[in-house]
Amino acid sequence: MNIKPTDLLPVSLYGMDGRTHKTMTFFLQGPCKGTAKIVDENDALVDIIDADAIDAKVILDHCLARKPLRPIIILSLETLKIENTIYVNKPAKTDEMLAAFKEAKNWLNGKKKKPAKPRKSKKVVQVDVEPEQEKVTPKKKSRKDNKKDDFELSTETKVYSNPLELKKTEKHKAAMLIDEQNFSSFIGIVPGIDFNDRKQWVKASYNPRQYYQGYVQSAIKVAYEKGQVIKLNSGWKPLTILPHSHELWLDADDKQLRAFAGVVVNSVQSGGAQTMSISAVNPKNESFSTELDKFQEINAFIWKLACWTSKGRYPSALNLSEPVYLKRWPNFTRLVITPHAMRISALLMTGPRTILDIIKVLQVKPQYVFVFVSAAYAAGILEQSKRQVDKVIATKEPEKKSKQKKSLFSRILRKLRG
Amino acid sequence: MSQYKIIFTGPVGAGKTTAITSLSDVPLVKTDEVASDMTKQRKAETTVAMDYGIMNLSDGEKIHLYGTPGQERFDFMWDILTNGGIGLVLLLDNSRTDPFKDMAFFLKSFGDFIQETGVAIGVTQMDLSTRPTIDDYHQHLQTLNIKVPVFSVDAREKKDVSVLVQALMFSLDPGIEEE
Repeated sequence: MNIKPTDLLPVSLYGMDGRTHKTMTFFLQGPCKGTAKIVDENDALVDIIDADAIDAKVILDHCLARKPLRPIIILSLETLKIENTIYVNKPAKTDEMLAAFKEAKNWLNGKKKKPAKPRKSKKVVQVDVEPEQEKVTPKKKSRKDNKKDDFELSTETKVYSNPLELKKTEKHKAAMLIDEQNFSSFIGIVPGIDFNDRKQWVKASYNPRQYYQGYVQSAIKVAYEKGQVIKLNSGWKPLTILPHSHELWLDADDKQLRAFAGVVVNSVQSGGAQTMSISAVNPKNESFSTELDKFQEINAFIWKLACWTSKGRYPSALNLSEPVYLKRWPNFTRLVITPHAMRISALLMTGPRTILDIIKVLQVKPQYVFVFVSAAYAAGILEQSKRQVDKVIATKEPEKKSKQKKSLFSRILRKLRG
Repeated sequence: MSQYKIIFTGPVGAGKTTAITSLSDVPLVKTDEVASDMTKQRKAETTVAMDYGIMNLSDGEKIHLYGTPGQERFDFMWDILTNGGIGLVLLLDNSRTDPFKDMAFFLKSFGDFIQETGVAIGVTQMDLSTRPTIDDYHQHLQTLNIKVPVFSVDAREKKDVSVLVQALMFSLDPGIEEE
């Protein structure tokens, strides 16, 4: 058989789903233009196999058995040396693909390359992202760049999944968005504080240790430190904390929890009596399996408990005039989203700010900022800055976007919120 | 009219198509089908495979939602797609063998675009595979000195996808408010 250099090489594809097949078509018609065309199996002179497909071995055996002399191009993330095949490393680059087609043509024209000796396939070295790499901003890769890409997609094998997890519906519930109108009815009101009077903000604090929140946080801390399943016995409903799976189990709905959240359980008046205790439990002796919907994710639970305990106040451990910083974005899709919570997060991610500053910059009611910092502080993702430099260096105002951009983003927001 | 886009990317099976379907005001259009119509007038080279949806804003403006092709390794298409984009949504499948490797791959591949705009990361399939946790993702991003929204997302839930895109908007400009 003599294939002219100008002839389109008829190839057939294997091990690719519909969308990948179409993209491969585009690739051959585009950057590899004039080299190959995709045809049916019977009309092809070259087979191209995605060796990372689950049934790749079966496909390869089939191709070798059906047409032993037909060149086979193997696409794979792993470096493979299989007899009578031409290997192309994924991600497939144009010049490597063209070189493979050229070799296949030579093979068909009788200039067959000596088959490579079969070697053990070796895994691609997994390159971890370098810790000192500050920005993920690579130079634009040119198509002529033959350097092997250090960053690659992982293989697609699915890991074992826990079918029970699907039944823990409460854990995977979508976020609850609370708007300004419903804030007071949802969060509750603290009598005796006028939030419109700035001078009263100083007394708008609360101590979590006097509430159920404090005991829950302590119990969670113990559970993680000891690596043990812990039960918090409060005289109300027992709460079981499972640190290894970052979840807890509570036989109470949100209405009941909200009501109990606001009760002072450890006050001076009661003589500081602590009515709660913790004990280690064996989860096998508990009846979790029959009530999987009572599992909740620990951070989400603490977040809403803090919102209901706070009622628009801030934790007494925080100083309104000292900067606070956010370690990371809260996982908002699984949390109660109080008014302006995402704006506050976005602002704090630009740098440390005092709580008073946040209120001023965003021009929002103090209760919204107070409840946010209460929840974020309880979840352990907000801290008061201890560094002197955070107090001395004023945080830059967020870069002002053009009016046009600002308006566009606002309209997108409106659309998203329906 | 301006061509504003939000790009959805991520490995195969992460939920890009589903997420765009959740947000789009029109049924999802596969541009290869559109091209099929166009091939009556044009050549067949226009065949592509990507997801496309539209969000219609109140003033008639359209936000185009593009999902990168399932075969993410053909990066030559990404430059074309990101042109005019206002931000990136990266969806990661938590049930894949190494989601961190996937994350590094896409953050690097779209590095220039992310620098100019922003990115929000949605982790799907967390009801099937609880590890790594969202905290693990943040810890990994810390080694890259990146702080972006990372949320657990069910791509079928419009609310989840909406919150993720809202976070992207706020990360681009914390000062915005709903108009």
